[in-house]
Amino acid sequence: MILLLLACAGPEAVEDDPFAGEGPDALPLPDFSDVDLSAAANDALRRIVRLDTAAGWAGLVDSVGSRTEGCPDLYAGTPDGDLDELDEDSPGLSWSDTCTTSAGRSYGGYAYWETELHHTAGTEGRRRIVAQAAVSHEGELESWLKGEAEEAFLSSEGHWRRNVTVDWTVEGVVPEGAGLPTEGYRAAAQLELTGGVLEEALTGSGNVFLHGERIEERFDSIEFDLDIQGELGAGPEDCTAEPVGWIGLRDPDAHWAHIVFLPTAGDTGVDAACDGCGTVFVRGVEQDFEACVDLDGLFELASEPAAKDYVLSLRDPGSAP
Amino acid sequence: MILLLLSCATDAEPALVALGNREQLIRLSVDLRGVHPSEEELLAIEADLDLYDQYVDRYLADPRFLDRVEEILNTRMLTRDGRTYFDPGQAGLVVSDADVADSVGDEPLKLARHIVDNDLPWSELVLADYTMADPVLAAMWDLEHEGEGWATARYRDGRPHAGVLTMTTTWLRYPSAGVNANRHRANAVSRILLCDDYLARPVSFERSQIDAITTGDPEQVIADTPTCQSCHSSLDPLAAHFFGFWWDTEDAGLDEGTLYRPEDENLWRDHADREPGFYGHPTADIQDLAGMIAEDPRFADCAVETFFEGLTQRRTTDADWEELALHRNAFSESNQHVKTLVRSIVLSPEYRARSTSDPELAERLVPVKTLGPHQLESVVEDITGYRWSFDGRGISDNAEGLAVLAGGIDSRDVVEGSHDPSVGLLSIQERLAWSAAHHVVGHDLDPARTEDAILLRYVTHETRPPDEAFEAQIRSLYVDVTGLPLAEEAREPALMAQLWTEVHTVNGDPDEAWATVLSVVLRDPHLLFY
Amino acid sequence: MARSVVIVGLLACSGQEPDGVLPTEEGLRVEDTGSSSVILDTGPDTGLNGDPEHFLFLYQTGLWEMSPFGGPYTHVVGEIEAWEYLDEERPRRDSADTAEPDEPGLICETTWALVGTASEELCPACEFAFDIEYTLVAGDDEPCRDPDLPASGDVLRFGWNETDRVIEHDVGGAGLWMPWWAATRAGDDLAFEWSARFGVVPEEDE
Repeated sequence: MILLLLACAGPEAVEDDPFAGEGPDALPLPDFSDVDLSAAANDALRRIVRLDTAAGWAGLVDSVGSRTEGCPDLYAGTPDGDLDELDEDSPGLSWSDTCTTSAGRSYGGYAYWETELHHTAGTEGRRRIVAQAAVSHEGELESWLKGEAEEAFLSSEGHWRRNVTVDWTVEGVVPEGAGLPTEGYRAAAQLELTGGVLEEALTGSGNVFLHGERIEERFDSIEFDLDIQGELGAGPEDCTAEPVGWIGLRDPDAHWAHIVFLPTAGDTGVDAACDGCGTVFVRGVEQDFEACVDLDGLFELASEPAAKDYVLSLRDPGSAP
Repeated sequence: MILLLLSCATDAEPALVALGNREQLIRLSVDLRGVHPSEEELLAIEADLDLYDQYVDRYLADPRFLDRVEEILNTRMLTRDGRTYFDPGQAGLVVSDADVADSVGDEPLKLARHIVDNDLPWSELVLADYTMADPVLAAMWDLEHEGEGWATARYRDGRPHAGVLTMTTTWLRYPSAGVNANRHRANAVSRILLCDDYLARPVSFERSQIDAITTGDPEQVIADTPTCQSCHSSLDPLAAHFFGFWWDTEDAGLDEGTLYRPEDENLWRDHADREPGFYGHPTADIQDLAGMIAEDPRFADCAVETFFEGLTQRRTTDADWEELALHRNAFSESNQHVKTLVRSIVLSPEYRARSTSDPELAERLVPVKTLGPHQLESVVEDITGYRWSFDGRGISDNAEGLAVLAGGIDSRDVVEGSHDPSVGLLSIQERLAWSAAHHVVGHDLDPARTEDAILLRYVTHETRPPDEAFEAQIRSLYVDVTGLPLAEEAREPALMAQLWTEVHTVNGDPDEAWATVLSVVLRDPHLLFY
Repeated sequence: MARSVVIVGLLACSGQEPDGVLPTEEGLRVEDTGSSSVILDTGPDTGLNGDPEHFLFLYQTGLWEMSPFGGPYTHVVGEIEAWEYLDEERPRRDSADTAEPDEPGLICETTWALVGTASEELCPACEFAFDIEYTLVAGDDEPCRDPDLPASGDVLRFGWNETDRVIEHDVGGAGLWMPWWAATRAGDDLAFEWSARFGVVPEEDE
């Protein structure tokens, strides 16, 4: 007879087994059933095509036009040798001050600008702003520009091209109907927009954060990487009903919805159709529905550059000798 | 018939020699409150060690325990580095830089305090739908905040809230730029919250692989090199969560350098181009990440390690897994209740031990602990009423470099405390003792004194050795300062009497003589080591 | 004596009898939880309140001589002199003498020859206009800071507005006319002067 030994229990086992469990929970997706993603994408496109330097430039022009002697102080070149964006031999003009005019207009900060305009066979122009400038009148903000923006254009015989690079915040100067919030916005983007009588096209990427406004009462930010060919100038292989690229829309809970457009598959073998509709991804998860955009009239929103908007001189002819 | 008797030999409990009753309570009180127990409490524990449990609960309920929680978390977060990052004038503040730095550095630590004070689960550290601020911090980071002290607050710039993961202080302390692409931040999250430091991984590279980083496209090299992927496969998806905080802080103003940019959340595409994820699980945003971190077993493990190391003054090793498992169970079963975790630690035999006969455990056990700069400051102040300060800042503030000299950290260049006796620590103790002693003597021997004496309760200017009152006072000083009565046959009373007399002979000043004697008592090793 | 009795009594004190009850707590120190008073400076402070530290003074003086005599003009020749001074105003002179090379503050001194032909494009209020080629004939224009100073070889269009007595400039040649110089006409000659003052950040070698 053998008395079996009794196994001794070791130390108390750790209760929770890190390798047990059913795996990760599925990503909870936001409910976008109450929002029209197609309308939101259309809205976003119509803001993107109007993303330029016009409002900020207008604000700068107003601020310069409202100046008085010594307020703000004017500079040839950069107003501050420590600004990374500007060299000491920068060729433009600037103002820099903290002051209030007798008319009650207050200036705070600095604004630097450069302009170029040439007309030979066609007209070329360029304007650049580097600013951290607040202008207010009797306590009401008139303009707030912070960052850098540059826009160049070329126009000839009814055909024009505009190149826009922005990395700035704009407040107070966005007029109604400009396609961007009147409360202001923050954008980091580059765009090339072509229009006129030969071709309509938009290529660009970047992002925009909308102050105050929401697209479809839901989305506060846009990001995009798009190539859009308009009817005008389209080749036989071009799809004019649908962009190539994608648009992202963010709701205030940081949930992103992306609409990815692929009008032609090329050699990829991926399903594609030039139908204006893109695949929707919510929080990175592909959905089984699409969002569609209507490009009709999109390029009518893009305005032809005007040479007069690329000149801002402080030239005072003085008095005759 | 063979009768096999096999005795069930359990794993032998390590033979631990417990600290004395008083010593246990002193250790507990210093660790949880930063002060010695009162003599009443010491007398009570001396008579009944079973009261220890109750003292644990009492000390855990003490508001000073919350200060210790902040200190312990700071050993991970390292945000108390004395920096304001921006000129407070940009926020319209007319406050000293040091005060602003205090508020800035405490943003995550005050969340920990709030969690423990309100018995919230520790996971709130990453799940909190708010931040913490006082009026100074609210002005600096432009927060919605009410009240005059530290309270919950919210950012106004559209950022999601996920505890320390979305605090401006966190991402200023752990900045990132250029090709680093938030990897520094990802490792900070891993190190602080999961106790997994990527830089500590034993990965070795060939020289050619390192050269390729500088000669080629770094992102492509990282993607193509398996050795790199051993870290980057998980590091880069983690880093992808933080691009809303993609600040160019060099020369940036307060707004530019702290504003969350929702529109930049997907900039990871322009860098490593790895979708956000957490160790193989896709995530969509930072709140998702927070949820995954909170559920990761390593999060709880790391919390246990953090508090264990903070209370025991030693680094955990693999050999501690058994002990840590017990604390881990207590922590988990209480829904990550920090006080329950701490209770488990301070009730353990290892914590209350003076020594062990187990050679393996002896390698790990810390039989004698050393006061850190915070504790030295608070212990001495509690005993003597004296606080050594420089422009209002104490020795635990590293503005004068004293915290580091005393074995503490500055949260930037010195991130590991030293618990070994050092010349620096002893020098500080010496100077502190001297100043504190003069403070006490100046108060207690003041003939015009109306309130109770601090320490010199039994003597006056006229008391001289060998008066009975003199020896009684010396013995009382040792009890008050060290918490440990002198043995009957102890030589200290006689030695102090001799010292007193020698000093008094020099200039005939009893104040100076008592200050000298008291400073010696305040330099007793039993004050500094517990 | 009484104190001695108390002391002896204290020394004779032993630990209390264990009763499982903690002694009552002494008053606890409550932590000062953060700043309770914050002083805010609500005034604007961009660090830009001051006037410019340095000033750039620009001066130009010029003359057109138009031909043929009495008009309608088909050609113009002329000259413009331009000076720029850093932190110094140009000394008053009786005539447009060439400045001494070591004149204080002088950073730019140039003379341009102007040669132009009649332009078909006129400003709306202009009597005549010229396309004028600028040629740098003296001095170095590299240190000059005037953003409107052309490069040698540039052709710029200007027109004469008799009503306002200003020479207008077609900016960029794009049909955007701006008053450029106030001028005085004497027969077939137009004389003009211009000056301006701007703040400036000197380059390192200035």
